[in-house]
Amino acid sequence: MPQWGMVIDLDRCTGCNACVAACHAENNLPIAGEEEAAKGRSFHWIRIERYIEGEYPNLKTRFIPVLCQHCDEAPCEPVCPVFATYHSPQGLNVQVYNRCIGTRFCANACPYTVRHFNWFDPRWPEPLERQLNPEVSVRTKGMIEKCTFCIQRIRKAADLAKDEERPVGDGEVQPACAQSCPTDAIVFGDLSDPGSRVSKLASQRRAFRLQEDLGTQPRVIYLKEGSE
Amino acid sequence: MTRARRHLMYGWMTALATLGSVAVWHSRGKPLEQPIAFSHRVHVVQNKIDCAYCHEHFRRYAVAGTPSVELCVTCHSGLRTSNSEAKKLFTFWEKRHEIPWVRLHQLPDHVVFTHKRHVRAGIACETCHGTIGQSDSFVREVDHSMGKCVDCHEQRGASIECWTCHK
Repeated sequence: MPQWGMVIDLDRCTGCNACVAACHAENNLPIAGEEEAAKGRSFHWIRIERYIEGEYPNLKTRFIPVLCQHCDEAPCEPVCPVFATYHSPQGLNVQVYNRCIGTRFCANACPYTVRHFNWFDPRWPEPLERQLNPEVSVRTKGMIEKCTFCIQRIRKAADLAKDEERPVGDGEVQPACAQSCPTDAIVFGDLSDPGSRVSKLASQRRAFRLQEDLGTQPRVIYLKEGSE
Repeated sequence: MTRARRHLMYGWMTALATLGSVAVWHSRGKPLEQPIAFSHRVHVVQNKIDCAYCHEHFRRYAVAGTPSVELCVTCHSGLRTSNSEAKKLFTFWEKRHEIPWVRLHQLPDHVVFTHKRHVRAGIACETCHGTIGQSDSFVREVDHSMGKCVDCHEQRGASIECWTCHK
């Protein structure tokens, strides 16, 4: 059984936000709007964090795309009273929308603040409501949602592989963020296969995980700058 | 997940399934009105037309497919009968309108279902669709609640992981 994971090479990330836009389009993310965003109710399953070092004009900007880390020891999972979030055998931290009753305990427990609550029924400015992805449900008011590693794409690849009686190949599943990244900074694949591209990148010396000291064991591995 | 948590989860699932079945039981039993009084029995039993002739996608895709008015006319143009219901077909055909068939079963938006996977696993149409193939009317006979799906998945050793069927 594949163990899905992601590598993000921060040396390649230019902070262009293409992944954010692609994620919105793929996963039917509502547009929060200026007013709600100012109240901290913005909606992004993946966001680009920006760190500016130095004083003008000698600035250096660093970017970190932050998405659900699909932690092996996820703090969001044990706090859910209705088991709407659980760990799948393939290592995904999964949110079952129709089970969610909106306690928001998981969002409070998440150290990466990647879980978002639907305060309202979803809204899209015209004509964006006509481009919803039929393979992803439209979440309604009162539900928590977050990055799924584009599980609909994983499901599709697994379905095709099953028909052809073979395992899912390396690079066959590409989440929307990885697909849209112009610098190829985001790589997705099976961490349990030592030959996969994602495993090779993750074993580099420059690999690290966000807030590693918390012991959450994230499935998203970042690569800092420098040589292998 | 500890045993206690798992048992509590199954408890929840059973409670939800029971509620679901009550809702479905209420909506079952009444025949649906269709724009044309179509009879599956006449087509399948009398004329021996295979399910796949009209529901052409069920072996290969997620959806089974509702036949287009064009497909109906392919056969019916050769047999203009005195049957007044069959004649209604041509009013749709002449206006180039699809027939607004009323769906007997409609799964909610948060459910992923593919006909292909189930047909390839050897599940007979009747398991979920009952005797619609031999019937003159459109009656919901089979419970399509989550409990029914989970029971069958458990019996056959198919995955009962939430994200197998929920999106």
